[in-house]
Amino acid sequence: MGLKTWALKKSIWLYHANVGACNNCDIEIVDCLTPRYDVERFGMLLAGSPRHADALVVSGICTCQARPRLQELYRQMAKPCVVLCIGGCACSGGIFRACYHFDGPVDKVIREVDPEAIIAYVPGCPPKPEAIIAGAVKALSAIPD
Amino acid sequence: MEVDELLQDLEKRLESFGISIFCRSPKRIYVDVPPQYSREVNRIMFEEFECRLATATGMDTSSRIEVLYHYCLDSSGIVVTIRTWAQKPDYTLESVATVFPGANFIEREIQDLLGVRFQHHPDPRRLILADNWPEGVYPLRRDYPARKQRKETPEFLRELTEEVTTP
Amino acid sequence: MIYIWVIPAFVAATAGTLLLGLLSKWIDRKVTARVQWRVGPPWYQPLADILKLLGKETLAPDGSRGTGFLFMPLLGFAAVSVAATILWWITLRPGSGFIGDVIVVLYLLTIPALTIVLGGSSSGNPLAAVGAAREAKLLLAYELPLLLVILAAIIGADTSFALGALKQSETVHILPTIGCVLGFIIAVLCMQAKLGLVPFDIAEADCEIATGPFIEYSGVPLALIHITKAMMLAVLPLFIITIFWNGLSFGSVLGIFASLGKYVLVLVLLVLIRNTNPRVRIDHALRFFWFLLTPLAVIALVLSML
Repeated sequence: MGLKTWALKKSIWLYHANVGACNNCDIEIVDCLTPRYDVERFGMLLAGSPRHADALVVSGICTCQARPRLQELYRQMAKPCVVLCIGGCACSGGIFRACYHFDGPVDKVIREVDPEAIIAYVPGCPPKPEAIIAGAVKALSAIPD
Repeated sequence: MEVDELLQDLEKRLESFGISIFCRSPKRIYVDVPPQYSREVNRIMFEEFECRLATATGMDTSSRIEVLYHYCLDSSGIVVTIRTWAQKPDYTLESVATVFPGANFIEREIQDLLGVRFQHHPDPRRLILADNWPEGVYPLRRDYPARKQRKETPEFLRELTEEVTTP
Repeated sequence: MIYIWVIPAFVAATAGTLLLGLLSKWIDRKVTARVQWRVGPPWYQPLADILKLLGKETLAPDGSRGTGFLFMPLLGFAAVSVAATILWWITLRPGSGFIGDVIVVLYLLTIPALTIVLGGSSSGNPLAAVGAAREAKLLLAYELPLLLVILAAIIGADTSFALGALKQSETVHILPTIGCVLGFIIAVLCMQAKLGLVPFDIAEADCEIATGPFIEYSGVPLALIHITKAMMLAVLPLFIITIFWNGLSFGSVLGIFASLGKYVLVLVLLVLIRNTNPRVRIDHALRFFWFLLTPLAVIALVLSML
């Protein structure tokens, strides 16, 4: 594996986007970044700007209002990057799939911008931080060399 | 203040407004108020009985849309609900936000989702629906078609404005 | 004859300072992790960060002024490299250096902060403009006590404005020594602001304004910014040790251990201050530097003149 891929796998910076979640998944994502789970030993840090980030951590169904903004966020990220869909709502719409404000699950929205996007799904309502870390590791191993 | 005491006080104070009042459980009192007196009754609840507005809810029964204002008496834990309604076809109601600003946002939300027009509201803008949501489409009304009757494409919003049916 | 060594010296100093800076950054993150009862990143983490950033694409927003936006990180990197070269030259070859090189190094070390201000302003992003304004105010704040205490050190050591002379001087009188020690403490606090570490990272690493001036940088310019920050973390402790504490000397074995000890002590001081303090507001920072540290710096100056 090349130097570039090695560096990308060892140092992944996360940017958290909430596109219509009830906040439970957001709480679990923030828990993941606390000292108890210590993701810094894997090189993961929270980035303040999408341009600095390598992983877009998305929670929530994608509402009508948030859809163009999520696509803009993905376009702003410097490639190569991965997307993590956290929670049942981001994976498939969850229990809100039939609602009036639901506008496509997150992976459909992102694949409109980039059909080759690497997306990892972490189901759960909300998923445990250990599951989120496992999902991040799976997304990293899918990055092509 | 005990429930029976509060019940009597409310009956005495509000009898000129044509209300009907009943008490379903030890800490819940319901007051049905005709829509023309709703603002005055709400004002009395807020200013004279010194209750706190917890929230307001709306419900589309097929004949009318009901708006319920829930007030808490924090000292005794009693919740008083003032129930008014908005009639077809224009579903208008007098806004309570002119009495106290706490009702501002919740009335905007009821306006967005159920289509109740609150008159003299200080700021009647759209609150929670998306910017590109069409006017005149109210998602929580009974005649809003369920998801499986709509096509599941991002263009469903455009189709919806053509096929909204009136009951 | 000596001039043919300039280019290799420059390259060696830059590479050495970069490696030292990455190591210092790792010490910073590891000590922070230990203070928070965590494990912390492995030793190659800062290097992996920079390599990863070098491999990402560079994006420049439409509203930015292209040349200024992309050129500023390079300018900051160049300034730190030249300052590092001068400092290492004086450290490793005592007796060299020229009169006035203190002033040159001071100016060079102000340039990275200025490039942050200019780069942030040319990003075309309102959050970056706020961050750039804060960085400019912070620059005004910490430069004043820093200049006063450096002047105090020079007067107290009875030398001219030459780093080499400062390095080799011995202050024997009590009051000037007290002035120097006070000056050292003030200088460490000014370093904290210059490096953009909590409690003075108001401009840079804010989640409040989404990393401020750096919000629109990505890829190679961002890697250069991180390289500059790492090198500043190596150069600034070296600078204040050279001025206040007779510098690093690698003559004898004892000298090597003493030098390592001095450097690590300053680094750990910076890291511990970073871990035990919250971030302050910009007006609190200005008040701190102008109304608390500046009078103390004046006292240090007066003590060193006695």
